[in-house]
Amino acid sequence: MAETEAELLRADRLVCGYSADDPVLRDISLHMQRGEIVFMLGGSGSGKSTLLRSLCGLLPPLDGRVRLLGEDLYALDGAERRAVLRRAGMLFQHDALFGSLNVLENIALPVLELTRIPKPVAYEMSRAKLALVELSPFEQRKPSELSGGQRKRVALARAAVLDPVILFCDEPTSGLDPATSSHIDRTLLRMRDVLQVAILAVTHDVESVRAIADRAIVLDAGHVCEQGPFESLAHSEHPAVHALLHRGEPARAGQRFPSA
Amino acid sequence: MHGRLEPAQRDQTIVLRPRGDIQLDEAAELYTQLSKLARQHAVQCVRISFAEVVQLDSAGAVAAKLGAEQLRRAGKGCDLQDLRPQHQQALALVSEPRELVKKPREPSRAWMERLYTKLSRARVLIDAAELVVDTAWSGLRALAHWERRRLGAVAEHTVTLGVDATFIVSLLSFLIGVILAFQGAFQLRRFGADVYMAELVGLGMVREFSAIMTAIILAGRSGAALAAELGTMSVQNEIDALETMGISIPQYLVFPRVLALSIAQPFLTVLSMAIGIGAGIGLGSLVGIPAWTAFHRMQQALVLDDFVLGLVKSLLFAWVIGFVGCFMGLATRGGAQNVGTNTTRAVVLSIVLIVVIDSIVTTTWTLSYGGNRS
Repeated sequence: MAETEAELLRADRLVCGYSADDPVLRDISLHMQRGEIVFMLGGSGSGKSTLLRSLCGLLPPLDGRVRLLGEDLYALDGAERRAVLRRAGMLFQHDALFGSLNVLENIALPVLELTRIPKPVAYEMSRAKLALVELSPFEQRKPSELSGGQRKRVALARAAVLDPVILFCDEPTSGLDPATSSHIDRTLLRMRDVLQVAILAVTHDVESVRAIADRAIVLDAGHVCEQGPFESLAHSEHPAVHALLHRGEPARAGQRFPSA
Repeated sequence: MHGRLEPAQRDQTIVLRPRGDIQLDEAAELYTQLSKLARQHAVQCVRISFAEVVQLDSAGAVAAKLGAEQLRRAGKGCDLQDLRPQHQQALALVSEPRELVKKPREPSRAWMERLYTKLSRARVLIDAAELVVDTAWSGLRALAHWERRRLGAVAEHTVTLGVDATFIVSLLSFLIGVILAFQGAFQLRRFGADVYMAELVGLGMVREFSAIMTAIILAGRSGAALAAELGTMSVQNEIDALETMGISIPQYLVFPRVLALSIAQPFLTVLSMAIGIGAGIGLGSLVGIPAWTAFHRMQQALVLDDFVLGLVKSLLFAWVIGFVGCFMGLATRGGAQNVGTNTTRAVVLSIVLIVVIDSIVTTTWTLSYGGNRS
């Protein structure tokens, strides 16, 4: 079975965007292993969200291939593609929780809609994931009664409820304070450790990358301009990387990389 | 085959040896099987051997734990055996099953909640009255210090809420006029009185049908639009944003819309009267009542009072549609589903109120002025 392959996700010479004349991303190749945490960094407009949409099956690339679990994602027909995508979870930037359902129902929704699992099992699975994001007391609340960080964690529990092998996260910490952001980071880390799920996140939160990423990919103007572990990025000479990591402060002699 | 669950009977102890992975679909199967075993009297104990299970995901772990719990509740034994570390880890993620059935609510609390619900319903009436008063007040103030730049918003709403409905109002008024004339002419012909069709159409359209038809069309069209628009704003915190900016909701959102409807609705009603009467005269000439005769009879039958009644009603209906739509929109809380619910409520409530107000106004008006008709 395809899942036994160590390589989880591979993109080959991907060209993505909304029109062939003016693609947002050109010639992107990347790969991910099981249980790896990879962050895609980039400023606004660098194409990182577009790339994520292409990788998770929402936006067909203009050229190139996306292989998820060894299957060519966009060559599959509808049912086969859905079967592959069921093994992936997605955390949206604006949590995308359903306002009319309570927390537990929100998390159980994919289980009840996509599988034949009976309700008691589905709800108990949801409770297990809710415990993982430390929100067990809130299972009867409506999303509108939660804080931004709590909603993100509920969305994370929903994305992980079917035990995905890979979790795509669009800006997991955007709009959150540093303490809440680091809580989300720890939750992501725990999910990886407990569920052995690989995480591919798009962000501009450098602190998150420093804290939990095994590897980071920096995008600039539609190209991968640098990739590697955070320490190697910190020594990059590329102006885009430098601008991201040091808030665009001009490099000064002897103080080019303020201590982290 | 992988993931097959094979029961093997030995006395009254059932041994299950699932093989392969226990993931989503197999988990559903395992749970169903354990639930069935829990209901069988002959079964004393169930052993599940995980020796040949490769992957156990959280669905599988929950299914095993909940199934085992059901067996225990049924007074039977259940053992999970030959667990590998990976299986133990998956099982550890699942908390110990709690009460499977929902706790009944405490009666005292339910009673209090019911009382609270009743009180909060009464509170809705107060809120609605407050909105009307606030809007009227801010409307008066706005008219007193009229600013030209507010005119744009009113004009825009007049077009979207009213003028855009011209075609549908015209079409339906034409058809109502035709139906009235047709029914009138054919039924009255039996008494040789078919020429009175003219009075029927003229008085019917001017006093009743134009106002009420236009109002029902606008309630379904513009009232729903109002409720949905304000409801969406409300659930997206836009109303809260306006309030924190210190902008008055009645003045900024409600008054321009109600004013726009108050302008558009009488005009549409007059249009509807004209088209309905025209249609009636036209149909009359087809069934043997000369157009000139019909027109002349209508001219004699209709007095200014009839038009005033129609227009007063149209204005009242405009306020009903505007206020109910805005109120239901602003009262929306929660998410997308509630926008739909409140929009439906707005339309239903508007139509009910329109018919109720129509019957009240018509009876009081007719009893106090109608008797003077020569």
